[in-house]
Amino acid sequence: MKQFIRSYAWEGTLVVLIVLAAIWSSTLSPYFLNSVNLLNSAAFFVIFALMAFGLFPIVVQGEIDISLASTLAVGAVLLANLSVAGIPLVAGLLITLLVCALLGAINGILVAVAGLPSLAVTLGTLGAYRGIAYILAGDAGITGLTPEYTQLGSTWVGAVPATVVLALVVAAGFGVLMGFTRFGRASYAIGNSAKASRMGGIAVIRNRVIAYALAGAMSGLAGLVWVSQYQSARGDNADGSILFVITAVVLGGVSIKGGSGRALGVLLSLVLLGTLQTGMKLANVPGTSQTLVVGLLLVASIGLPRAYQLIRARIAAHRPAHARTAALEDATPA
Amino acid sequence: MAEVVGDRVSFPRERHEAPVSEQTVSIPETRSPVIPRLQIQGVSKSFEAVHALRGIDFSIAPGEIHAMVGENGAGKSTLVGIITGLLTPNTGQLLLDGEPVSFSSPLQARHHGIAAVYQDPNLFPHLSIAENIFTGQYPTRAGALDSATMRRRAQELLARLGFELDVDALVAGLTVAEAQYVEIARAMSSDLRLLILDEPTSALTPGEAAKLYDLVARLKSQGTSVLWISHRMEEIRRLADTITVLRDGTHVRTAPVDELDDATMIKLMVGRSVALEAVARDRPLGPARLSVSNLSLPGVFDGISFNVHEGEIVGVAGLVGSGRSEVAQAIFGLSPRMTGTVLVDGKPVRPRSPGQMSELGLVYLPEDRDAEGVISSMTITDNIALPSLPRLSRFGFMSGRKEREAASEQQSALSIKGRLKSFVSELSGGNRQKVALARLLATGPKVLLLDEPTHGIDVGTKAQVHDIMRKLAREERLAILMISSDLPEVLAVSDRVLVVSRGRLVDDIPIEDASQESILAAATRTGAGGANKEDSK
Repeated sequence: MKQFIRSYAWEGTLVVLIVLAAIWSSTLSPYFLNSVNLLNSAAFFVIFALMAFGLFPIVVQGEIDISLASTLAVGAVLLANLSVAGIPLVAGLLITLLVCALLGAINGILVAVAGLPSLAVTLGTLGAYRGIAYILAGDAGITGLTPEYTQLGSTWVGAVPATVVLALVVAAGFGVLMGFTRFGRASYAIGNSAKASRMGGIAVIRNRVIAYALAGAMSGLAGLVWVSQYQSARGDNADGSILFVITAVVLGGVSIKGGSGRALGVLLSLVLLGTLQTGMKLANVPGTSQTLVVGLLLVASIGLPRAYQLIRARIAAHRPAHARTAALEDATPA
Repeated sequence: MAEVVGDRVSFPRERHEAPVSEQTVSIPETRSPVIPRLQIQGVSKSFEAVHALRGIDFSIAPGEIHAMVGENGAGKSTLVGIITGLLTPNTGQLLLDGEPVSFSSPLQARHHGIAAVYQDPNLFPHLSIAENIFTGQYPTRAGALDSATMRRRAQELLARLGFELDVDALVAGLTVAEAQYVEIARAMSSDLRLLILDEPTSALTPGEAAKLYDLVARLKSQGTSVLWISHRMEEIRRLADTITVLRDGTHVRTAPVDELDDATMIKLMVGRSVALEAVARDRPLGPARLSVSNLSLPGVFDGISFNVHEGEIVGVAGLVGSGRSEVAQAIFGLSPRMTGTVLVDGKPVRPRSPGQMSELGLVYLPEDRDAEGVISSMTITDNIALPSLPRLSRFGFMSGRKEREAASEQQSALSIKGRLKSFVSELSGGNRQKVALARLLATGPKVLLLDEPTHGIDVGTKAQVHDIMRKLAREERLAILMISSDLPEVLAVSDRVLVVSRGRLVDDIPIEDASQESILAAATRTGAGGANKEDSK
C-alpha cells in the first residue's frame, strides 16, 4: 500500500491540483461548473491531448518532437484538400494518417538511424513541415469542406462530445500500449539506458522510428479533429501549441530525461492545464499571460523532480556521514 | 555482503586478534632492527558504505623489494593511493623513516621521495621526455624555464638508469615500456626513497620486463625501497624479499618470500584453496555451436577463426586493446561491417543486430556492466525480463505473471540477493553482475559470449560465477566463450585458451598445455606467426 501511494504520488498531486484549480475557477464564474461549458472546454483541448499522447512514448524513450503542431497543420490542410476534391472520409483519413506517420518517421529516422539530436532535428522539421502546410493551403486557406469531414466536431455521444470520447479512447489506448505491451517495455528500457537496451537485444532504432511515426499519425488524427471543429484549414493551424503539448506530457510525470511516466499522469495533467486555462479565460486573463503561466508550469514540472532529488540527496549525504563518524569512533579504541 | 564463501568471514577476525605479532615477528627476524622506510599503521579507508581497507599494518624496510599481492578489489590500489597522497585514510597513519607523514597530493609525496609508476603511464603525450620528467618542478633561471639545464639533467638521469632515450622525443611516440622508463626517471628526479610499481610488467614484453627487473635490483642496491604490485608469481620469486598479502581490504600476512610457497600465497589471497586444474568433464564435447572463420573488421581484427562446442568453455586471453572484446561484439551483431563467416548451430548467419543474434540463442555479456549490462534505474524483474520480451509476450502484449516467474526463476538459480522489485542500483557489484548474467540466461541461450564476467566483483561472488559457468557448460550444455584479463581465472575455468594479439588470433592452447607464461608469451608476441590458425578440434 505504501509503495502504491509512493508510486502514484505524482498522479495524486495532480488530482489535488485539479480540485484546487476547479474551486478557483468556479469562484471566478458560476458558469464554470456548468456541464455544457465543461464539456465544450474539454472538446477544445482534445487536439492538444491527441498530440500529447503521441508525444508521450517519444519522451519516455528520452527524445523529443517539437514538430508535431506543424505535422498537425499538414494533416489538417491535406484533409481539407481531399475533402474539397471529393475523396470519401475513410480514404482521406487513411491517406492523411499515412502521410503524417511518414513525416514522423522521417524525424525518427534522422534521430535514431543518423543519431542526430532530436531537438535540433525536429526544430528543423517544425519549419519544414509548416512550410509544406502553407504550400498545400495556399494564402487563403481552405474552406467549403464536405459535411462528412466536419461531422465529428458536432457529434455528441449521449451528453458528451464525440471528440472527448475519442480523446478518452486514445488515452486508454496509450495506457495499454505503454503499460502492457512489448513496445511499452522497450520504450521505458530505452529511456533508461539505450546502450544497455541494445545490448539486451532491444531493437532501439526500430522502436524509436515507431514512436515518432505513431506521434505523426496522432497529429494527423488531431488534424481531423481540427477541421471538424473549425470547418476550415490554414497553414498556420495550431502554430505555437507545442508548448502546451510538451507541458502536458512533462507535467504528467513523464521525465524529460526519459524512462518514466504513465498515460494516466498525462491525462490528469491535460485536465489540470485545461481547467487552469478555462479559469484564466473566465477571469479575463489575456492570452499572452496564459502562455506565461503554461511556460512557467513547464519549467516547474521539469525543475520540481530535480529539486526533490537534490533535497533527498542532501539528506542522504548527511545521514550516513553521522553513521560513519559514529562507526569510526566506535572502532578507534579497539 | 553476506554471501561469503567458507572462511572469508572468519579470517579477518582472526587477523585482528594478532595483527601486530605477525608482522613484528617476521620483519625483525630477517632484517636488522632499523627504522622501517615506510610504516603503515592501522590504515582504514571507506568509500560510502564500502570498506576498501580495514586496519592495515605492515612495514617496508629500507632497500628492500616488497611485493604486495591480492586479488582485484583486495585494496592494493587504494593503499597505493593513500601512500601517494591521492586519497586520505579515515584512520591510521604513515611513518616515513620514522616520521609521521600525511600527503595531500602525489606531488607532495614525490617531494618526500615517494613515487608511483602505474601500468598505464600517466604522462603528457604532447610534451617531450625531458619536459615530462620535470613536470611540476621545472628548473628555472630568473623565473624562466631553463630548458638547457632541464635537458642536461634529464639526459643524466636516463643515462644513470641505463635508458637510451632522446630527451627531446615526444612521449606520444614511445612504447609502453619506454613510457614507464620516463615515469621512473621522473620519480628519480627527486631523491627517491620509495618507488611503487603497480603491475608494471603486465603490458611489457619479456625482454622489456627483464630490463625493468635489472633496474629495480639496481635501485635496491642504492638503498631505495620498492613496493612491487604484481600478479606474477615468477617475478615475485625472482625479485622480492618480502611479501604482503591483502584480501578484501584486510592485511592477511607479511612474510619473507621464502616462507610462502605459491599454493600458500594463493590460498591467502583468495581465502580458500583454489583448484587450478579444470573440473573433469563427464560428457564429451558436442558439435560446434558457434563456428567462425576469417572474421575481419578493418583496423580492428583480421582473419579470426575458431569454434566453440556444446559443453565447452573457451577462454580468450590477450592484452587490453588487442581486439578481444571487439571480436565478441561483432559476432553479437554490433559491427555489421564485419566480414567473414559465422555459423550458429551449423547455420550461416550475418550478424546485423543484437536482437537478431539473441533470437538465434547467442548472447553477449558486456564488460561495462553498469552502462551496458544492466539498467540500474529499473527493477530486477524489468532487467531480467527485458531481453526475453519476445518469449514473455503474446501478440505484443506482456504477461506480468510470466515476467515475474522468469525473474524469480533466475533469482533462485543465480542466488541474487534482494527483492525482485528492488532497483538494480541498490545492489552490490556482484549482485548487479548476476542480474546482468540472469537477463541473458532468461532468454534460454545456446551460446554465451562473456566479456570479463567477474571484473570488479568480490572473491565470493567470483567463485559463484565460475560455478555457474561450469554448470551451464557441463549440465545445460551451453557453449561459452569467456574473455578475461584475469589469467588465473582463464586457467581455472577454460577448457581451451585462445590468445588474441593485435587483432589476430595468435594461439589456441589446450588447457593441459596452458600456463600464465605460455599465454603471456603468446599475447605479447608480435607478428602474425600464428595468425589465421585454424581451430584444431
